[in-house]
Amino acid sequence: MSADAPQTAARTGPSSTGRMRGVAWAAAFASAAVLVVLGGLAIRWVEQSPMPPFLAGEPPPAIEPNTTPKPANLLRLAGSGSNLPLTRELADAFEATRPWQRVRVHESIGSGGGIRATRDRAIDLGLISRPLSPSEAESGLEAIPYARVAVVFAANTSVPVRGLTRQMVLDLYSGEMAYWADGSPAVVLQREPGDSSHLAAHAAIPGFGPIDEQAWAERRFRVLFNDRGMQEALLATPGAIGLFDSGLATIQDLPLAVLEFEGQRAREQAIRTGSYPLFKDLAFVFVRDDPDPLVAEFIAFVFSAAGQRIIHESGYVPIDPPLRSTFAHQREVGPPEPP
Amino acid sequence: MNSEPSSPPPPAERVLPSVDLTGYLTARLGPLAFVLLFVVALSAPLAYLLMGIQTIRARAGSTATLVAELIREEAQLRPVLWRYDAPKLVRNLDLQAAQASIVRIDLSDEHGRLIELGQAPPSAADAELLWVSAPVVVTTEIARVWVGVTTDEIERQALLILLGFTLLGAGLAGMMYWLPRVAIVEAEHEVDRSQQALAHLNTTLEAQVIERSSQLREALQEVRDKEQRLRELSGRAVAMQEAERRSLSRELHDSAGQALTAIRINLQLLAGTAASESARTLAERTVELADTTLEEIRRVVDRLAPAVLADLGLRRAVERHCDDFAERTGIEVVCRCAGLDQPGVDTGVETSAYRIVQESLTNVARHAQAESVVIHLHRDDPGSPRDRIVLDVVDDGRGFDLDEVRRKGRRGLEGMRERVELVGGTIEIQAAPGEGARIHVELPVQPQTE
Repeated sequence: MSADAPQTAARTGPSSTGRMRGVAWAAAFASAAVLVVLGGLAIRWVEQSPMPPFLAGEPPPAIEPNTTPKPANLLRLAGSGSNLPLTRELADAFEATRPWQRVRVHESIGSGGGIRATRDRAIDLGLISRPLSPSEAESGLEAIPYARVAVVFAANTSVPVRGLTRQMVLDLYSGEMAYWADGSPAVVLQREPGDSSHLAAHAAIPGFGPIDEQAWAERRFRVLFNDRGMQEALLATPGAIGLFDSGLATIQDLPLAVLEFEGQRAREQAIRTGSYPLFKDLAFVFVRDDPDPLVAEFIAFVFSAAGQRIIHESGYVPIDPPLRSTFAHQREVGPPEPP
Repeated sequence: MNSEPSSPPPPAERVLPSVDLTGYLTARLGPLAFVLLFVVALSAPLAYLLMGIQTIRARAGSTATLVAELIREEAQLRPVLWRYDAPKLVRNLDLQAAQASIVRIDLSDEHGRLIELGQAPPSAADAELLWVSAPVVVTTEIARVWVGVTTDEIERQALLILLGFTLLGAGLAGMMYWLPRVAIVEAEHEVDRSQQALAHLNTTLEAQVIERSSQLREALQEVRDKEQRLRELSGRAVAMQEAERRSLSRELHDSAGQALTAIRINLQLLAGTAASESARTLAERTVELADTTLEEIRRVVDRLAPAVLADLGLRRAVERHCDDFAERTGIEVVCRCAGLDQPGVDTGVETSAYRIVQESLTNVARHAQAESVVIHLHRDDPGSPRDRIVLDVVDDGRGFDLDEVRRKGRRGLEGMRERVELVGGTIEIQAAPGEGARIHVELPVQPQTE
C-alpha cells in the first residue's frame, strides 16, 4: 500500500494540475474578454452623438426662393462692407431724385453673403468687392463693376513712416520687421482669408500672398472680420498697420495715415494708369434672367452723370458700364424719364 | 520446516513521492499575470480615452452654445440676412475658440438644410466625426449649430499610454509571475535535497534493519540449533536414563528378585520343616518380610523401568497399570486403547506415554478425590508425517485452578510438560474447580529433531 501511494500521487497530480490550469486560463480569458467588451461599450457610449441631418443621407428639402412680398418701390441692397459707404451715397442721391422709391442698404454681410442673398432673392441687388467665382457665375448671377477703389496700407498716426516698399511689406507680414524705425512695435492687423483688400494685395504684390496666408494660418497677427472692426482697430492701436479701402478713409475723413506704396500715392490717376497697383473693383450683382425693375433703374442711375460724379467726389474711380449694355446705351441717350 | 521471513524490497527501489510545485504554481500564476497585464494595460488608456472624449464633447458643446447665442443675437437684429453674414461670424469664433479637436462648424436651418459658410461642403468622411449641436432659438428654433470634433488626437495619445502601460503591465505581470516562481523553484530544490537526504537516511536505516534482522535470524537459528542439540542431549539422556533404569530394573529383578524368591522358597520350606514353633514363626515372618521386599522391589523395578512395557507392550502395560490402580485405590478406571499394536513407535515415546498415564493417575489418586477416570489412548494417522500417539485422561474429581497450580509450580504437571516437550509433543490441560480435569497429550511416534 505504501508503495502505491507515490504512484497514485504521480497519477492524479499532473491531471489535477492540468485541469486547474485549464480552468484558470479559461477564467483569465473570460476576464480579459469582459474587460474588452465593457471598454468597447463604454467608448461607444461616450462617442454617441446625433448625426447632422445634412449628413444623414436624406436629401434636404429644396431651397425655395424667397417669395416674401415686398413693396414694389423698395430696393434692397446688401453685401461687401467696401461697397457700403459709396453705395449709401448713391442710394441717397437716387432717393432724392425719386422720392417715391425706397432704397435700403443693409449692414455688411460680405461679398459672399451678398451673392448668396441675391441668389436666394433675400435682396434685390448684391454688392461685391471681388470677382464672381466660376460657380457663382454659373448660378445665374451677373456682376457689373461700377467703381474702383484703391487699397491702401493705412496706419495709426503714431506710426513713424509714411511710405512702404514691397520688401518692407513682406518683412512686416512675415514677422521679420517687428518694430518701426523709432523702436515702437509694429502691430500688423489682418482681415480674414478671402477679404477683397487682401486678395487685391495678393494680386498686386509678388510674394505677398503666401506670406499673408501663412501669417493667418499661424495666427501671427490680430484678425478683424469687417471694415468697421479694422477701422476701429487702426484708430485705437498705436503702431498699427493694415490694409484698408482708401475710399472708406476718404469718405469718412478718418484720422488715419494712408501710406505710399513704392513711392506712389493712391490717387485716381495713379490707379487709372496702374502706377499704383493696389486696387479693387466694386460691383453690383443681380439675377440675370429676372431682375427687379428697380435694379436696372438704380444701376442706370449709378452709370449716369450724377452717379459718376458722386463716385468721383467720394474718392473712388468710376468704371464705365459694359459695352453694348443697356446701361451703356442709357448713359449715351440718358435715362428714361421717371413715370 | 522453518519458513524464512519475506525479505524487504531493496532500498534503492523506494521512491519518495514528488510534488510538482512549480507546475502547481505556474498553473495559477500564469493566468493571473495575464489578467494583471490586461487590466494594467487597458485601464489607464481606457479611462484617459473616456475622459478625453467627454472633455472634447464638453468643449464642443460650449463652442456650439456660444456660436448659437451669437447667431441668435445677430438673427434678432437681422431676421433675414443673418444667415448670409453667418460665415464671418462663425469663422471669427472658430478663430478665437480654436481647438485642435474641432474639425468643422456647420449651421443648419430650421429644415435641416446646410447653410453655406464659405467652406468646403461636408463629405462622407465627416459622418465619422463626433457631432455636438446647439439650437439657435428666436421664438422658435431657426437654426442649429453643429460642431464636429475628432477624437483622433485623444486616441493617438491613448495608444501611446496603452503602449506605456502595456510595458508597465508586462513588467508587473512578469514580476508577479517570475518572483514567486523563482522562489518556489528554489524551495523545490531545497525539498529535493531534503528528500534525497531523507531517502539516503531511509536507505541507511533499512540497511541497518536488514543487517540487524540478519543478525537476529542468525541468533535465532543459533538458539534453535542449541535448543535442538539440547533436546537431542535430553533425549539421549532420557534414553540413557531409561536404559540405565531398565538395566537396574533387570538387575534387581534378575538378581535380587531371584535371590529373594529363592530365599522365600527356602524360608517356606524351612517353616514347614521347622522344629520349633518359634523357628517356624520366624521363618513365616521372614517369608512375609521377603514378600514385602519382593513387592517393594517389584515396585522399584516397575518405577525404574516399566518392564511390563517391554514385556507386554504399551496397550497392555497401560491396561494392567489401570487395573492395578483401580484395585489399589478403589477408583473406577475406564481404559480405552486403540491402534497401539502397530509397529514404528519409538521406545522413548512409548515410555513417555506410559509415564504420563502413571503420573496422571498418581495425581488423581493424590488430589482429585475422583470417583472415576477415563483414559483414552490411541494412535492417529499411522504412516503419515503426522503419525502420533494421542492420550486423553479425564476425571470427575474436584478439579483445580490451573493458574494457581502454575504459580505454585507443581512438579507433577511440570514434569509431564517437560517429558512431552522432550519428545516434541504437545500437552493441553483443562481444569476448573468443581469440574474435574482433562489432560490431552499428542506425542509423535518418533522424537522430533528440528
